[in-house]
Amino acid sequence: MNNRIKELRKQNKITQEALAEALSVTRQTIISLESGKYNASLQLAYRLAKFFGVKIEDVFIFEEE
Amino acid sequence: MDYKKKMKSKIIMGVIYAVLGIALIISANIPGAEGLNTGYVSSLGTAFTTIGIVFIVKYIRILRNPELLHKYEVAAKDERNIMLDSKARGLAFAVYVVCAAVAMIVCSIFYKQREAMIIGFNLCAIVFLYWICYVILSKKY
Repeated sequence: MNNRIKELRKQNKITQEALAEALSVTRQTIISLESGKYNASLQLAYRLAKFFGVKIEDVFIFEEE
Repeated sequence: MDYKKKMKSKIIMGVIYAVLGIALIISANIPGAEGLNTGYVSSLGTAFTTIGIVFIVKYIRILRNPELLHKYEVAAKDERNIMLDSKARGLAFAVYVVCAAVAMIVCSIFYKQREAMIIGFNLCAIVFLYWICYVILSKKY
């Protein structure tokens, strides 16, 4: 699962720390999400999409294996 | 608020550990405790007391500092941390089972039947416990 978190974060001029604070997660979680090492839960995915004001499918790109 | 309660319960746990530790130290030093392994009981008491004091100091410090409390709460509720904790437990369990099975075989090869039996029973108990937990959790989720 790829995502556009880094791109959206940069577009909105938000630091990883600020995004983590807004979503009540650690900065390490944001780093892992952006690098694709960790896939967000549905709840966090929803919160991320809501935070950026976009749809979930605009944040996460599902790729069938 | 909920996390604050959790911190308070940790402080209570710390007090229980400290009291238990002090009780163990006293019981190891009272006359007539010859039947006990006093050295072991005393060390155990010291360990419990130390853990208790560390718990009390640590969680009071967190409770008194709202910024630190928030930081700890975020770390405790962070879904990646929860996933890592769960994965680490699973891996530790798998490694333990393999190591115990190897130890049991090695003990059997060298005629250490008693040790092999203890490890074997322990292994069976752990696997049985896993199975029970799996059944309970599968009904819950």
